[in-house]
Amino acid sequence: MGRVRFKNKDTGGWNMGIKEDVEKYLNGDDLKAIWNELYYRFEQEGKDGVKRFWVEKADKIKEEFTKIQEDIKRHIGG
Amino acid sequence: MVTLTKVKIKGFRGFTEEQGFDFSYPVTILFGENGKGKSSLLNSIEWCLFGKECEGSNTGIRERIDWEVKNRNINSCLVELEIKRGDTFFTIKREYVGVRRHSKIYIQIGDNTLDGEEAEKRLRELINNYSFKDFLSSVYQHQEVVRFFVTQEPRDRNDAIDRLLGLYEHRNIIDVLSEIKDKIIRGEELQKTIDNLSGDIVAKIKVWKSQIEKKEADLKNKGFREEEISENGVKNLASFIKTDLSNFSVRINLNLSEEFNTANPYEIPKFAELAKKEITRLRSEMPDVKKQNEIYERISELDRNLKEYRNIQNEHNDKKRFFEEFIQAYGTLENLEEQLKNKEIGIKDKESEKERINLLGTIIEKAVRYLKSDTVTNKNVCPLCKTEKEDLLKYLEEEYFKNYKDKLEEINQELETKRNEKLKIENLISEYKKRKDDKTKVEERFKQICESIRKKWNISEREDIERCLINFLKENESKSKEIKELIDMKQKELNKIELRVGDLLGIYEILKLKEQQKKAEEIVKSESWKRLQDKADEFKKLAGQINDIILAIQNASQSEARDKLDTVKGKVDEYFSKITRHPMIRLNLSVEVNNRTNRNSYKFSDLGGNDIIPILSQGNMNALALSIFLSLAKSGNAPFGFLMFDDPSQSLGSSEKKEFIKILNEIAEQKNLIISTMDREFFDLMREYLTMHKIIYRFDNWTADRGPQVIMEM
Repeated sequence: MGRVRFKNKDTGGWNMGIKEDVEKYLNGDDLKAIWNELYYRFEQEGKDGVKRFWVEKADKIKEEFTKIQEDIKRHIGG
Repeated sequence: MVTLTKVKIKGFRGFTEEQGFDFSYPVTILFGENGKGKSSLLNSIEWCLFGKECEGSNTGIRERIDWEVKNRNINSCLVELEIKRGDTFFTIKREYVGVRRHSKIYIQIGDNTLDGEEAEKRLRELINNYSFKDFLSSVYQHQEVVRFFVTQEPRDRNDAIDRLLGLYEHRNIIDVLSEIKDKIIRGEELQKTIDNLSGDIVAKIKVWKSQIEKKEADLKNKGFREEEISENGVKNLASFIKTDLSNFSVRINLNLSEEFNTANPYEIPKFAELAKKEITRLRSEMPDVKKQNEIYERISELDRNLKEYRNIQNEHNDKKRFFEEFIQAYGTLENLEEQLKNKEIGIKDKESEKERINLLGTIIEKAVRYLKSDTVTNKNVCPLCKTEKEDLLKYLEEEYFKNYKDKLEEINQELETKRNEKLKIENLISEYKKRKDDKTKVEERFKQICESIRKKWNISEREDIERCLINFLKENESKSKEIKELIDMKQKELNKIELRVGDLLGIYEILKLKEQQKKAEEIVKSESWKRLQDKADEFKKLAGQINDIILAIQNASQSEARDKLDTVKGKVDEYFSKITRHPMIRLNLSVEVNNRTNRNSYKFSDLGGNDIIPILSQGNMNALALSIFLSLAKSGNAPFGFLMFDDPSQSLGSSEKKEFIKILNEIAEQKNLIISTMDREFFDLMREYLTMHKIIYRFDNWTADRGPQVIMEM
């Protein structure tokens, strides 16, 4: 038993929780904040929540991108 | 340490009516066929402790997706556990409320009852905040663990180990992130759009360049100089066009429209449109054109009158000729009437003769009838004149009567002939009158038309209408030819101006194309382009963040797996060797990340580093799954004084089962065991070789309305 490393000293369980575990491997506060938000969505809505989380972000960028792209096309004309 | 002593269950999964179970013995065996409610009983313990945490896809247990807690045949669903910690008994009751998988929980400690959040909090304290994930790792051996090992599918096996090691959340999140990375956020997607857009712009510039060259060449062929194909050139040309149109309008004595006069010649498209409109108007409204139209109308009227005159003249001549021909053939009306009168007299005479003969015939007929009667004795005496004649009756019948009949027939024929002749004369008189009437009417119409034409064209009575009309036609056709030449000259002038309007638009299009070309060439250096690139970079960054998070989860998962395996691998080897009694294998467990799936991939090798999976039987795989679970259960520090096994012996051989039971005996010295099985051999072996006190529940005769029928054996 000497080699056993209990992650969670309070519970004696193996698992301390994925949220804290993964955070240790992330560089930068931005990424950590994204991870925390993502994990919250996973807890609340499951895998679909994770999907929605990224789709929202991607759609926002794509929407802005498309707007600029259309402006450029309009500007060039023809 | 929390030990389980009693369970009451009602309306949960396969259970309907309330049933109670005693778990206070060191070993509890649940035995029965599949689908009789054994797993429902184990699940009820888990659900009472962890509520909705143990439901749904987040658990990593495949059968938990769309898992129904409440039995459909009963209204209420509740599970009650009696647990003991130290010397204190606690009763935990969880009741399903049906909204969003929520449940109500109550904890009774002596006379004191807690509920809601307070009860949940107290329960967490009782089990040292031990997580559901840990519960699956080291308390409850779910039947999927063994099943997925035995299938030999590496992915299922890795899934099962991840779940045993409490890493199913890592796996779930990696799965969904990988899908997003592959299907939704492909980092280069927006960059590709920019590259395509850039390609489109280059292609457009090329097309515009070629259009400009062609249009410039066309204009130069028409005599335009380089400097005329410019901003100033286009303005000058517009001014020239305006002046030309103005001069032209003065020459033909027609005003230009207000709209054109006030138009700005430097607003080229609008000016060109107005100029074209003005040219069209001048073409149709110039005075010569109006004159020409009048002449055309006059020619048309003369032509029509001439035709009308000729038609009525021909008709008049025809009718006159018909009448004269009739008189020549049948005489005048007086002649015909005289003939008719004579015919009528002849008919009258003949009719008198006929009447006389008829009278005579009647007398003779009556005389014959008289003589033939029986009262007349002397048949030779005439009844009228009393003269006697031999064979008078015969004479009367043969000669006189016979002559009367023939004469009458002759007169009738003559009468018919005379009447026919009379009818013929009457018809001729009608025809005479008709022809005369027709002639008179045509004469009247001819007179009217002549008068009308003479009046319209001012032709005197002495003049020949037809000749006059022909002369007028010739005069007007000659005028028309003259005016047409004048109009053609002016139209040619307008054509020239119109061509210059076309050139004006041509130069304008060249200038616009050059402007577009310039804009397109400058766009890639613009602020908008930079912002577009920024968005593409942001999108790439997003994809990068997904990759970073996947990598972090992989690292965390791999590190955690490695830690746990390092901790338990000695124990796994020990249990595996004991269960299988395999002489050759010394197990070594390791974990890698599969770069294709981004998931943990577990390696089971011998001490020489060789993969042992290909040489393991199904029983060995079953033993391996149990060894990992037992090692985790043994090595962990769970606050639970019991372990639950669901169908652990699925593919174990007889000797493996016996060895497994030996291990269970060791564990049972420290913890109570709850073992569910459908395996008769395993059940019999447990009865024989499990030395601890045990209680057996046989699950049988499950029905939808009553649930399982459970028989207890000691």
